[in-house]
Amino acid sequence: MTHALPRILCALALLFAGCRPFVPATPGSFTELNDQDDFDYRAVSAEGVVLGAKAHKNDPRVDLAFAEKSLEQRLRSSGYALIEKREIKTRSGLSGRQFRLGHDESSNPHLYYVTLFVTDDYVYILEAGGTKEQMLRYGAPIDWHVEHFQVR
Amino acid sequence: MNPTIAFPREPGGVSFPRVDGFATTRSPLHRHPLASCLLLLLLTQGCAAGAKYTMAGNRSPGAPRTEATVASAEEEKAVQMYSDDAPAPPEAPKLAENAPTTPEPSRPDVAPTPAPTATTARPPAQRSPILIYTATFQMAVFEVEQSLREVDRITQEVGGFATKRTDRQITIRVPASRFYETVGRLEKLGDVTHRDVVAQDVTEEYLDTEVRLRNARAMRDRFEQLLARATTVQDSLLIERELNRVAAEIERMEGRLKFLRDRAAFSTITVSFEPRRTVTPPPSVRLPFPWLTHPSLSRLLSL
Repeated sequence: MTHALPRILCALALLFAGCRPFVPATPGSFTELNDQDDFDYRAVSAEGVVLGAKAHKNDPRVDLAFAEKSLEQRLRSSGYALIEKREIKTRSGLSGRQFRLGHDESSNPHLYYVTLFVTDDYVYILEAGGTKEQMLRYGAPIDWHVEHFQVR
Repeated sequence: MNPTIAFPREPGGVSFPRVDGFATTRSPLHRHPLASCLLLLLLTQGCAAGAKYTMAGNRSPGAPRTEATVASAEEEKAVQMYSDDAPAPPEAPKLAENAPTTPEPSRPDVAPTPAPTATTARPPAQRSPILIYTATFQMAVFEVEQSLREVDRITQEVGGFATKRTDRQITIRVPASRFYETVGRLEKLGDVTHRDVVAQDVTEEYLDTEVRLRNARAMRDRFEQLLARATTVQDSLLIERELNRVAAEIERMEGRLKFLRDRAAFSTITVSFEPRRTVTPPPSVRLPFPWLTHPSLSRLLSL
């Protein structure tokens, strides 16, 4: 009961405040977009690189290894080329996995980074996507955005 | 004035129209010796063909294949393309001429070939299998144009050629001897989500067709000899009809052998840059996690 109380209070606070259960970090070259239906957070650069984040209830509950395996399979079966898989650790100490994927959109090569964090309550999906050229150019701001991601 | 006289049909006999200037007797077989020969030839050839086909098709597993006929020089050359001393696929196998062989024991249920043929018995030879290699790759949809160009380049380097190309798919034919090398190079082009490599053994079909082709050619030769000796128009027409039928059969079998030779000499590889739809689990077993279906590049980019 003692352990559950802070979580309940936090959940109630989030509910009444209409807040997302994380604090996004928007790089300087990006601007955050409001009222994003499918996303809790989305930001875009002037060249069209897009950042997105969404928190899903961890129910049915999974751990990071399960989520990583199932997500990798789902993405690859959807036609994304798995270029690289990285272990991620945020500044706040949260561990996660990042898939660096490739996919052609309208015959144009794009890069797509999907980062996964799993806590007891939420599964966080961070996304970054754009043309291959722009994504390579924006590598540092995207890494910064992931490293400074915080859960509430 | 009346060139044709229709004889009444006799039980068990054959009625032929009479051609003016030719002697006839009461017995149809005596009246038309060539037609009789033709009938006898058809009957015996049918038995012979059946016997040879049975020998080729119904041999016990593992028993060495025997041949009752000798291949012509051209056929021998063609067969040698697919036989090899080295068993390692997918090199085009060559005929193992000096390989130890065991003749098949005579079978009492197989009728001998009484009709005179141009073929003679010879010791059977063991043959390496005739294999048709095909491969299908599904690759992730990334840098498709560049990858297609790379597939083209590899194909040319190994001495192959492209047979079909679309925006997201390419089909190539490469020499069988370089099949595995090509497969290895293609796998490095990108993220392979699915692969199928199949080696189809067509040895039995090839050899059976070959034997039937030899028999058909021998039959054609005998028909041609009979045609040269035909003395009545009716006989000629009958023999020519059979000749046409046999010629069509020979063409069909030659075409099939050519097709098999081509498929064995050049392997077919198809590379597709498409999502693998078949791997998607059916709705009943789809994992019930909303976060699993959320990530999508197109959704992220649609602002």
